[in-house]
Amino acid sequence: MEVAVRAVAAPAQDAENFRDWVAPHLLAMSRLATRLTSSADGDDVVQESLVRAWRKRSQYDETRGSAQSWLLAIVADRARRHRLRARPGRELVDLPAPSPDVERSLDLEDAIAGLPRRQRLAVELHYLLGLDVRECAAVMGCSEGTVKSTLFDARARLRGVLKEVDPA
Amino acid sequence: MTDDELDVRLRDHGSSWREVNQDRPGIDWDAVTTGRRPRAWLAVAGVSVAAAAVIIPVALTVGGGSSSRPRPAKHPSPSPTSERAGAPSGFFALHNGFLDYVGLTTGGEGGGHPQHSRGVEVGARADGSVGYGAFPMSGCKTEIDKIALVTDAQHPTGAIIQTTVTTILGGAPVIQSDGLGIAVSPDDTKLAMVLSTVHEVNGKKNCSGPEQLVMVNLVTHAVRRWNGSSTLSYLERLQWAPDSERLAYLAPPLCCHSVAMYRVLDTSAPGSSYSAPPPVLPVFDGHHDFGPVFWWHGQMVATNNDSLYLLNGHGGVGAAVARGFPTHLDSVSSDPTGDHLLLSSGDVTYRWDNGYLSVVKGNWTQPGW
Repeated sequence: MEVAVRAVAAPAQDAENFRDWVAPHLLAMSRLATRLTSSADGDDVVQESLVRAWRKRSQYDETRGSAQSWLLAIVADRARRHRLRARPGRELVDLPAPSPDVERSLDLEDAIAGLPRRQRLAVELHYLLGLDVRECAAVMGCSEGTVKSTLFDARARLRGVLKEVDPA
Repeated sequence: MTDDELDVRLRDHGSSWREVNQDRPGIDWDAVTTGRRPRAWLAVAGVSVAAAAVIIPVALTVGGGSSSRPRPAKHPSPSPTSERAGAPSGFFALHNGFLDYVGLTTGGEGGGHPQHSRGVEVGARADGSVGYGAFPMSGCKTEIDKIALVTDAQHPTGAIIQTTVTTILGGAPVIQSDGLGIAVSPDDTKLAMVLSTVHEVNGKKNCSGPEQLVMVNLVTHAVRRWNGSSTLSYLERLQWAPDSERLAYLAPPLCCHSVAMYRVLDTSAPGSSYSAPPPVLPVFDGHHDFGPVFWWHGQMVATNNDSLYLLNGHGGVGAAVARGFPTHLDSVSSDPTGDHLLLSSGDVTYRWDNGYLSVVKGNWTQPGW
């Protein structure tokens, strides 16, 4: 259930109003952070992103994009930085064999994770977060046409990878 | 599978994923607005370090075995004039997506000369006198411009002169970050940067392919490119060696279950892969986070916590040779002497002058001299 929040147009300079301004976008920020890192690290990335957004709040320019696109662009940058410091050797646990549907999803997830950086961000924003092309363009800092062609290219690459995994 | 079928499959997959992922993050709001480290991170950090694996064996010997003692951090003095003597008088950086030349005065930093062209990557000659910007153009091309601050009779207070060096094929990076940027060779003859490859899709150029390492010769305008591999496609933190031939960089893996590695490429040798050179250092060795690999007074070094450590180029870490650095560095830029460094960590830009560390006012991305 979505929580009703007070609509705030620009990031306020005081802490309470900044919180109100950010609140409607926290779920999207959390989802993108989780997608670009992992569920375990997603909260840390959102926390880091909010610290950065608070420090840079005076630089937000609503004529250049929505609050959500500004915040998601910060999340994407923080996630990249976080991934550089990702710790190897995560603990492995035994899980039951996945069902065919789950296996199919895992193949798709692996294929998405293997995309080049620009293509992966476009796919994550458009398909996984459900943003429209205009919003994706605002987050990525490029034109809508570039987002469309990037998505097309990403799908072409994904088709090739998925064909190798499951020729049938 | 057709393009439309995959489009539907991706939409369904995204929809299912969003249904499951409805949790809002737990935010420590006090930490957000006060800059304090969130309480939960302290416990998490301990667990992460204990569970980590080491890929390259690293022998860290702090202080011991070195003929020279590390330079200690100096206490801030009211007037660090002597430490800053001989430092570049300004630096180049991005600010809100625009390329700036920032003049540094003796009394403090700030007061930029904004260059109103949207820049995606920026770099600078080591003496801070000349900057280079890479700007996206239509058709997946990138224009490389030279930017200089000129003071003459016509412009007594100084003016920015911008000239086009060359235009090359390749897509600009999607995100402006301190880890990316143009690396200018010490002899000022080559630029190195990261661009995306270009594909033809339905007769149209698409510039979102895997990343390439691109080197541009500033004299001949010849371009050389190195590709990654199926497991290594991201690239950043480019740093030239003093010989202007070797180039250090960080190459994170595509998948998040192995550690990012620093590598050194000999650009004078044949080859077309930036994933071929063996790693010289992991970004995390199980105990230490290593900042950018670069050359300082002719020696290959990397930062860890507040210190600068010697590297042997084969995964070995030697003595600490300097102290007083900020932690978690994203980028390092050295003047020709090595006595003056420009550093970025998170939102903050620092200058390090002969052991004296100070914060540079303002929000700068990819600061460099």
